[in-house]
Amino acid sequence: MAVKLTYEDVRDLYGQHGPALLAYGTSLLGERAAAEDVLHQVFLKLLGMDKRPEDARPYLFKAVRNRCLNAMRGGSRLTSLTEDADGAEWLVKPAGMVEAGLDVEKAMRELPPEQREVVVMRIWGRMTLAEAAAVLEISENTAASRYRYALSKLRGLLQGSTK
Amino acid sequence: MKPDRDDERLEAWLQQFELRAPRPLPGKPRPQARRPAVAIAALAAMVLIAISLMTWRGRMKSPGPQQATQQPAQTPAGDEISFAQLSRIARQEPEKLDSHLDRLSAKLLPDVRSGEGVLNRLSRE
Repeated sequence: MAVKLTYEDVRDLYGQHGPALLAYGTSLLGERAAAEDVLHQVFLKLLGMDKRPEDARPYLFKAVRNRCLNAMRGGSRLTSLTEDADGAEWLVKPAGMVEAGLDVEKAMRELPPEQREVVVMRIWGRMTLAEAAAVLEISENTAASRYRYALSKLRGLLQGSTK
Repeated sequence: MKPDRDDERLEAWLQQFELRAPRPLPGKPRPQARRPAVAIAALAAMVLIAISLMTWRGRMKSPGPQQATQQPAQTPAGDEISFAQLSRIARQEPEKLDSHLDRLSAKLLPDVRSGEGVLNRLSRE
């Protein structure tokens, strides 16, 4: 049954999905602060909704994607990540894994944006390829193909780090 | 399409990296608090003080009694008539209202028929 969301509901959803959505938004916009702004807009908009989304995760990914694309169309944001983008870090790097974490972020920057977003959704968003395909409005085969290409490229880029 | 072992291994390796948490959501929107009565009373007192000050300053700037006597006495005190009086005349003696108004106009408004009147000046131009 659809129930109107309270602030506490929204805060719980934010705690649950916020990190993956932040990674996704940052992967699109290239700037963590801008991605956080987008997240806040999306989650605060939930407060005004009469109904709770049936399946929150794909809904939120789609909402974040739409807002990021709008921001990019406005020309105010980067569409690809650059190495000197200090605010583009989105991974926690525990002691002993700092170098590897930086390598992952660097390798992700080298992926084409359409492959990068499938990887973020699948690996850190824990979404199925079917869910990712629905968010991106592409076929599941296309999503799977992008994902396989991305993994193949990442494997090459991270060869030294994964050992 | 089934992922191969290498893909699974890479996925597991990537998943060990945790994601940064975004900065907290902005605070819960609060319903507008009711203004305490003290604040309203203080505001009312400030308005009263401001009005009093403006009135006092206005009086200070107005011409003194000597200047007032130098003004042309167009409307002698005896002939002054208030709106209240006019209203009373209109109610009680409506037939006299016109004559009262004419008398007032003659005292208050410039005489356009005099030698230096506006109409005469215009006709000369």
